[in-house]
Amino acid sequence: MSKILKKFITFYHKLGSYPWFYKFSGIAIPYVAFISLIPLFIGLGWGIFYSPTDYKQGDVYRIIYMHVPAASVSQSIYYTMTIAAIVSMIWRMKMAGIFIKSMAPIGASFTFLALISGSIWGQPTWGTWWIWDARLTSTLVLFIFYIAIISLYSSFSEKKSADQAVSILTLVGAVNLPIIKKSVDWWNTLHQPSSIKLTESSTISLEMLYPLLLSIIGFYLIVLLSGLMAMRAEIAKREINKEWFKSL
Amino acid sequence: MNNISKRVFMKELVSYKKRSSTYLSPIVFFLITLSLYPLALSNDPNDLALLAPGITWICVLLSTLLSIQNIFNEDYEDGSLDIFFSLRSTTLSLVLIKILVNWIFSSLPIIILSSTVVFLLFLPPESLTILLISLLLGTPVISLFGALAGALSLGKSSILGPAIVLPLSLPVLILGTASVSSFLNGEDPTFYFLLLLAIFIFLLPLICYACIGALRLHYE
Amino acid sequence: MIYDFNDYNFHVWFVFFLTLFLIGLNLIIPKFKLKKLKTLQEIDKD
Repeated sequence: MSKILKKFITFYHKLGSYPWFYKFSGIAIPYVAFISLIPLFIGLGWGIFYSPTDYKQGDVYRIIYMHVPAASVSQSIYYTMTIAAIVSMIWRMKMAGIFIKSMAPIGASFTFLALISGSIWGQPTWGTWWIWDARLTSTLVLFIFYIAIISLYSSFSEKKSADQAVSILTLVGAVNLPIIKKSVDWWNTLHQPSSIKLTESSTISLEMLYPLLLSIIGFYLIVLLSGLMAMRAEIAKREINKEWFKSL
Repeated sequence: MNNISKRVFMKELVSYKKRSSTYLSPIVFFLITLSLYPLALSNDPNDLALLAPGITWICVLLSTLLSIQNIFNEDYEDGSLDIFFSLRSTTLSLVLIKILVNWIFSSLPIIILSSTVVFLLFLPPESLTILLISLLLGTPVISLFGALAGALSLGKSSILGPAIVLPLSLPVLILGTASVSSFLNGEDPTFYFLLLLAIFIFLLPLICYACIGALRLHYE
Repeated sequence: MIYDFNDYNFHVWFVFFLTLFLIGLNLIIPKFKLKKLKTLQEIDKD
């Protein structure tokens, strides 16, 4: 047991080192690219071309294969950023700051995709591009948080204090997001704007579920891939004048 | 310790009193925006009475945004924050006092002024106390977020402040307007007041320490 | 029931290409950045 723990601790220490991570990600990226593209293409291809047409919505429902993974990924990225923010605040691990910096634009782009795909899906099915529903509103707030984090980062010239500032904002946002979600839920029950119900409990058929699961897996792996690449680029940017980078 | 915080409090009061624009501009802004709504929406008393709680809350939220840069900026520029950070024990009380004085000067006048919505926006007079209580409970939370945003964006672009404060203060806006409209619907608004109070108590220590952390970044 | 290519569904295809575009953007931007930094470093060496 202690052996595994020891291995984990050495892995954690290695993770904090720029040269190690740079080399490791260089090796890992082609493999991750290979494994991530397979479920993504199979999932999307299966979903768009071969899965059965929904009897109620017709072919438009196929947006689900992009919308649901994007929405799921956009929230998970914020959770991982929160963990990184805690690590960065307590242990001052530089890699955690790099992680937040690289993941924020990725999270913003997938939240944007979730919002846009949701509204494009809503137009033919509910007859409106946007309704002030609880879930849509909290996704919009999440998007604004990502934008605030990105703009806060870019307002600092010193990388180290930028990392700390962004960690503080990420943590405060993470504490507030549940409150916002809950209050938006209350607000939504207070002013029920229309008879449209978003959260209909529908049983999804297996032929639709399998490609959906595949494309969710594909999205997560793509996030992993783009995160690794963005962190690698960020390390290179910060360490361009260091000896180890020059000697590569 | 207590003596220092008292002196800081007095010094803050004096410095706010000297710079009259810091507390006058939110007031002017509040009155102007409040008078724009009837012009843009409608002058029908029934319509306005329905919208009055929401309009008031939005105006309060926007006018407090004007003052968030003032909380730490002057002390940052003249270097007195530097001195306070060398006396490590006083930072927490300093941050608390600064938030409190900022609230007294930027939010309290607006809360008092917002009783004019009875005439301006035809808010039913019996719900005025509910509106004022919701503002009294909600604006401290907005001041906390404003202090955090001010501390994070010291000497930086001013769009950052609203980008941080506005999404964070969504719950306050929702609960504040909900308390008034629930009262107008004949329900008991105590539920919302308790929630606003709970949010404030929960966030007070958290945001204060986040503020200290954010201020310290500028001296590393 | 297989999707009919002739049944042109604007909504699905728009979202599909937007997805591909955003995923591609997330992959291409860091790659491009790294390439630029590497060439900078090569110039520095010479």
